[in-house]
Amino acid sequence: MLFLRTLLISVSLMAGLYLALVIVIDPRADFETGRFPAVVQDVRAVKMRLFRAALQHEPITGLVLGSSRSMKLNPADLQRRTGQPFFNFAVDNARTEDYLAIYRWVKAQGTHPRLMIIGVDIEDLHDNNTPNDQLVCNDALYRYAQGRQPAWAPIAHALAWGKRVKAAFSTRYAGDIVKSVTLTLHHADTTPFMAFTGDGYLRYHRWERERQQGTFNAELTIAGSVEEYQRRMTGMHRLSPTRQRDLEQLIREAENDHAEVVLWLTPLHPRVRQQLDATTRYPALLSEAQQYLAELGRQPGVRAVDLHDITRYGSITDWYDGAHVNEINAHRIIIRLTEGGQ
Amino acid sequence: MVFNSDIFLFVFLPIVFTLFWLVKTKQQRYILLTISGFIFYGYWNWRFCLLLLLSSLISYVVALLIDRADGQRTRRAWMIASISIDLAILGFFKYYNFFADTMRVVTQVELLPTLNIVLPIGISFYTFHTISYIIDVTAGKVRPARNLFEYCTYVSLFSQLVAGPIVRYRQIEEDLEHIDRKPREDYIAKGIGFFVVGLVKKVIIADVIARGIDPMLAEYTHLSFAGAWTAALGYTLQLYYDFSGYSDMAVGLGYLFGIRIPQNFNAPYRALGITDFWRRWHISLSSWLRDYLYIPLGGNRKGVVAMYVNLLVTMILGGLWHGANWTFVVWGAYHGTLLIIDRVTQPVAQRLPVLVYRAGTFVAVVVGWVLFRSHDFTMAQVWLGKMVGIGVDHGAQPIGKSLLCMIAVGMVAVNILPETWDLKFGTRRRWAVAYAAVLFIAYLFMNGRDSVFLYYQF
Repeated sequence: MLFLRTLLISVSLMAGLYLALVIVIDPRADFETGRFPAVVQDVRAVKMRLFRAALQHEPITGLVLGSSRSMKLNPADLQRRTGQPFFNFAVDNARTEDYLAIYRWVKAQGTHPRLMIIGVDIEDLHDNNTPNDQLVCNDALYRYAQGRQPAWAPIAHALAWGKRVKAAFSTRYAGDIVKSVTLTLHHADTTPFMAFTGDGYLRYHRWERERQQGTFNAELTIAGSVEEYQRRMTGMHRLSPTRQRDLEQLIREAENDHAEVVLWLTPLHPRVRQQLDATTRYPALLSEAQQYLAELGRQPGVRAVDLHDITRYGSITDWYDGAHVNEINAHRIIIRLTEGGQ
Repeated sequence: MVFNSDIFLFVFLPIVFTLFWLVKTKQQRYILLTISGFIFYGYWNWRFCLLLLLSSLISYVVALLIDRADGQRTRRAWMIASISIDLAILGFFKYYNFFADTMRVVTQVELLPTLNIVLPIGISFYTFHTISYIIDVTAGKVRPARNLFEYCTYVSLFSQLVAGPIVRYRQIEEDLEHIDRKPREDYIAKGIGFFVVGLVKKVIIADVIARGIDPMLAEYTHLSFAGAWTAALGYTLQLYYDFSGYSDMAVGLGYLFGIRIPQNFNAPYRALGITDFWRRWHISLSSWLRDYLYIPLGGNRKGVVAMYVNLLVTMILGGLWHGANWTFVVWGAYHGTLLIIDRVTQPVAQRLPVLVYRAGTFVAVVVGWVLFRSHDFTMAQVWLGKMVGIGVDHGAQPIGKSLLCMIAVGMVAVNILPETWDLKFGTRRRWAVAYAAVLFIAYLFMNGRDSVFLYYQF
């Protein structure tokens, strides 16, 4: 069995070396060693940290939930229009199980939102039913998605750490290590692509700078979105009943807590939509999502706003890419969401 | 449980392997392998362990009865009874709804209700194991196993239980008889080597290609001409690397326990003619169909026309074995027809340049895989149509560069690289370090991605 022993020792050594590399380089800021730039942010973890910090200053009664497409809803703008102190808890690649988990986690922090603005993307209800990796690895949040009782803290911590370590053993993570090291070696611009202010509001520092300098290439970013969203929507056949149940559960819990819910259907840039209309089931899915939100909007305490068509209230130039509006369109969305509300 | 899962790699395999080499006697090892086989199988759905147990017990007992029977007529009666029970179980779980649906479509009346039946994983494989055993015992080719656990080890051996290879009892009888021997360094090295190569085929090639073509095929109506061919070639490679990867892993696992499982693939895409293809693709199934179906039907002993009919019937049933869907039946008929054409045109085809003959065979196989992959005839018709330029959607579906690269690499590999069986797996320690590195990289590819083997559905 000498051969097997050599194999096992070699694998263990390689795993140990790799893990050391992961912790030192820490490309996703999982271990907070911070020697190299993080190339991917765990937005869920970042926003949880920011939320706890924001709670120290004032009680938060307004909550924005959604995917990255809702991240430009400015909490300060919302507060001006509603009078409620807001926090933007939109997270990337969000699905309805994220919203349910975040809402429950927020309440567990001792605060009770009175108004929730939930940006619903059609793919929030994707029928693949696979939760986001960052949600799964975030034990503090994920247990709320599953309705589990909080585990004994040391065990929960060990489990969460174990999951993070395991998640690091993947090609994607290895790719991020390479990216992080490459950025450092080439002294490249390490300004994070996405950064958040204390109230959870998203800043695209690099894109904002490029826009100021007049070098921002919207054509390029929109073209990238076309490809990305085609990939995302391909393979989605219907609205997931499981995810619909999660959203309905969230609404029920909000109703029990006397919180008002505003659901809004997020827009995509017309060029992205045009491509999706031609090549995927997007039109049918959009219609299903519209009907579904309209149904939910008929419930007491729930308002549904269909903002999927940007040409009706915004512009086709105020976009960062094919899915993410800039501040101007975001302000227009806020006006639509808050008019007739408070 | 699948081989490329954490539970298998980090829990099941280490425990079973350690216990296997800790216990010393034959009986202990038979019991251990039987129990581990049932745990492996029951991990998916424990209820179907009862089915596996029933099938094993019936064939075990019937084999002993056949052995004790006096006349050939009694032996045949026992054989038919056992095979009938096996086929009845398989038929009910796999084909009942297919039959009921077909009857409804043909008669326009619901003669039989559609039932909510879950297909027990691997049933097609272990049913063929038990059938071949019973037929071989009846024919006097093997002596029936006296030890129940030895026989159960054969049927429920976890390495080949769910998706083959379809091992005949006589092929591993000797290893089962000597299962109490000490570990051999060359077997361990070979086992690890086979397993690592299989894992690479599955998680680095097949799964990566699948991630590229599955979204394309989910929206097959929007395939372009190039997209249709990319998807067809991609699936051709995915199926080969997925299934031959599984087979390599099964062989490797067999070696780790001192059991030599026979070869299932031999560079099938290098075949010269369809007959040659079936000598190289899923060898354990094609030889099973030859020995237990084609030859008993008469084979080539009753004239040319009867031979062609036998070929066609064998391939149609072989197609149906893969799944209860008319697309599989047509796929089987397609291959049966190709086999007939191959026989007829052999004298001419043999004179073709090797590359032309090989390319022609390959294209014929690719076309067959389109039928095999399609969930219905509409999909097959649309997809095949697009491959010849009918109804193409110009540029609608983007084709990823990484997918094209993988297909290019895969094509080169199937045509140039040696089959796993042609590799020399060294026993020196530097090989262990090399395998460790490859294993580590393969794990980076598989971690966090659930992927079952394509043949698990059959």
